[in-house]
Amino acid sequence: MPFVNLESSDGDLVKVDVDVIKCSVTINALIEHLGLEDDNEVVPLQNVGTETLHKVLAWAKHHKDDLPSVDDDEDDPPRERRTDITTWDANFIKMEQIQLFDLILAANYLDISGLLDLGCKIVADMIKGKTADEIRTMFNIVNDLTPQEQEQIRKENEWCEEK
Amino acid sequence: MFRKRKEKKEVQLPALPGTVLHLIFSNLDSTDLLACRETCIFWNQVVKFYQMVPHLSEFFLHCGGGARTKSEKLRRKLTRFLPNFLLPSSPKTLQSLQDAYLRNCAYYFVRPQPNLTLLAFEAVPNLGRCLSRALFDKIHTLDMTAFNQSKLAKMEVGGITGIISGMPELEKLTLPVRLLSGAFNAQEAGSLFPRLKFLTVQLPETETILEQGVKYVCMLTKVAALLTSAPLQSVRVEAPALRASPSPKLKEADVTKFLGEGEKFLGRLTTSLFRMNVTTSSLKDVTLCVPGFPSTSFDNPNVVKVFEFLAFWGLKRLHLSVSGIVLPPSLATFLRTMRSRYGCEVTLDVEFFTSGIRSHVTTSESTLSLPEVHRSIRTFSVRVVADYDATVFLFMLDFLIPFKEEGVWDKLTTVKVQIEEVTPDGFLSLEWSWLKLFWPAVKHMSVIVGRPEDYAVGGRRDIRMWGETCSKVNSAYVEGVIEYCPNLETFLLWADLREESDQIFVPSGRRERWAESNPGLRKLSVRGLGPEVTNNCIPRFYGMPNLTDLELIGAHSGIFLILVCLGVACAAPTGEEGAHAEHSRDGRFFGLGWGWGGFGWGGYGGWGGYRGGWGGYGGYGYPYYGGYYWG
Repeated sequence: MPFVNLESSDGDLVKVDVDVIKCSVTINALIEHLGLEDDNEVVPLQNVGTETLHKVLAWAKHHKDDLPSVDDDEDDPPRERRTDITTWDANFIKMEQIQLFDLILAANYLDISGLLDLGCKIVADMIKGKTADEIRTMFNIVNDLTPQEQEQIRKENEWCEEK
Repeated sequence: MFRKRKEKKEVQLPALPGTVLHLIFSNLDSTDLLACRETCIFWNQVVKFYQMVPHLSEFFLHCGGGARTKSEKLRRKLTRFLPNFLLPSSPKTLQSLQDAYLRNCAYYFVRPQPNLTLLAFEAVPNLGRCLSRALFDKIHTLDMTAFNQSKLAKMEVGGITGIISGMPELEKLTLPVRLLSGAFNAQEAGSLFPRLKFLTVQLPETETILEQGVKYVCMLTKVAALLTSAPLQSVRVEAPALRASPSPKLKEADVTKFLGEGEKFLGRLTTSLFRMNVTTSSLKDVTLCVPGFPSTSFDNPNVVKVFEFLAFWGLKRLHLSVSGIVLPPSLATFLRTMRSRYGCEVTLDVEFFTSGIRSHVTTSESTLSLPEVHRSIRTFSVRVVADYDATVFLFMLDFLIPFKEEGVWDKLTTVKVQIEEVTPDGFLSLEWSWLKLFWPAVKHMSVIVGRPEDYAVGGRRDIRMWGETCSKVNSAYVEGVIEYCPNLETFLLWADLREESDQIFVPSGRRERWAESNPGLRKLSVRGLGPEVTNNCIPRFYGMPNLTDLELIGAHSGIFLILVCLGVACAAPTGEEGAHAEHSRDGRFFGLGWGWGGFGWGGYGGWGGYRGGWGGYGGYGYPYYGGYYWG
């Protein structure tokens, strides 16, 4: 069974089954285009830390037998986001915010749509029902909107809120 | 975006890119999205960029009765009504509505009392159902221009009759011609548009019309049906500019064939019109802005009869766009007849195709030596399509402009010259010192040597354009053109000016700021300049309150570098590295940037000015000749 060595941004090497990591479009492309046939070849992942990489691999290992998602068509409406989260995924995704964000960024970098969707849904759930102030507090976001901009947004929002 | 707060637990969250935020926001409903908008600038930009809130956009609402705050209650009622297609709570609500504006939304309302204007920015499948009857009754202007661009337009086509028929007060209508097909028959036109006075019909590109000739004959016959029954005063038929030729050069034979097809189409159309017995007594203005309309059409008696017929029934002003390799004497005869017999003033936009070989013979001696034609021309375009004259080393632009005589070109406001190719190693002179005398009213001038796409930002230039075999333009007269035309508002010169530097723009000696000679200049675009273009030339443009677009774009050894900002743009040399930005005198952003082996653009004038601080992206690089992306 072929393996590939992934090098995290921390410099650690992780040997992984190609079948496990096939969910990553980025790594698949690297393997195909770079012709990494030797098991000793290393794929550097400069944007993914060791801890995050292990989490990604854990998720990938669990979902390695999932059916591949159908490619999106540009003309089609946005694809339906997965609405159900399995118990395993729910337990898996329980982590600190910073780890969650790192995981999302890693999924985005590695182009793993399933993991990215999962992470985004969790963040969306955290946002739901909260005010702008609460969101800023939760994510440590600095409010860089000027009072005029805030007023303008509020005015625009009034149109959308009235139904 | 995600920054640490000192009083909180020290956690530095990484910034999520816009694409990821888009995915997150896709899981939220509109209420949560609105909260996200109020979170920070970036989140707001993401929501707006991806148009995630259906009715979200820039808008303002201005209700009558003085201060806006006084109308708060009314405004709240309207906010329920307008975006959500609900009925107004009372007729008074509508009466008080003065204007409202919703970009990217379903409607665009303007209500100069006592009428109401509705412009549909986006197609709405159930537009006919969602507008209330009370509103329909008030609409006097309907602009469906957006249907030309919107993907949703196809869904609306079948419903156009229902929409229009519910607007008894409709006076102004603008719509693509295809929406008229199948919308009504000739007998219904009068009852559908009892008050329609102004009609603008948008055609597709002329090439498309000719490809589907019969189909568009039917559509235009529908338009003619309106002439027979609706009390129209003004009709405008317009089409976009001709598509760029896919081949490197547009051959004269291709032009001839194209114009021939146009004549056949017109023949079929006029035949259809005569069958309908078009008559009208109210029509005063007709404008046909259809690029490619053959000038030789006036050799066809049927075409002439159509216009004469309209003039007989009271047409007073006719504006035509005509194209041709020659401007035939029949056109002059037509103009004379319309003026003297019917009192109808005809103005022309002339697009003149010629070849370089014949340019200074054909144009000046026979084709355009028609004073009647000259006096009617408002826009004069010359397009030299092929076959430069190898015997002419110095190609004078005024070869193309015959009949230089005072008082003949009084109506001429726009001049366009495009030369596909001129003499290799030759020079093109812009010596237009006679402009002030003979073309006193010219406001817009453009001279393009080569194809416009050669100068497109980011486009890969035809190497010949910058090679040794290309004709060069003597730009020493650039300032002369600007100074000789005191009314000039826009001037565009795209040519091989690589031997020029910004010295032609730097104020020195007798060269004063252009504000003194031409304060009204709004736009100046010079592309193809040499490598030595710096911001030294900027002072030349100080004190020009109307100047909103300035492009000085350099080219060097196949590497093209452009710097654009909202107010002022300037080019910089390649082969260096760095970037800086500074405010221009009026607070707009002025940017410079350059990169390695690519071309860059920078300046982000509006953005930098909006934030009111430093900024300006030094440059975004685009891969070019192995260039390197950076930004």
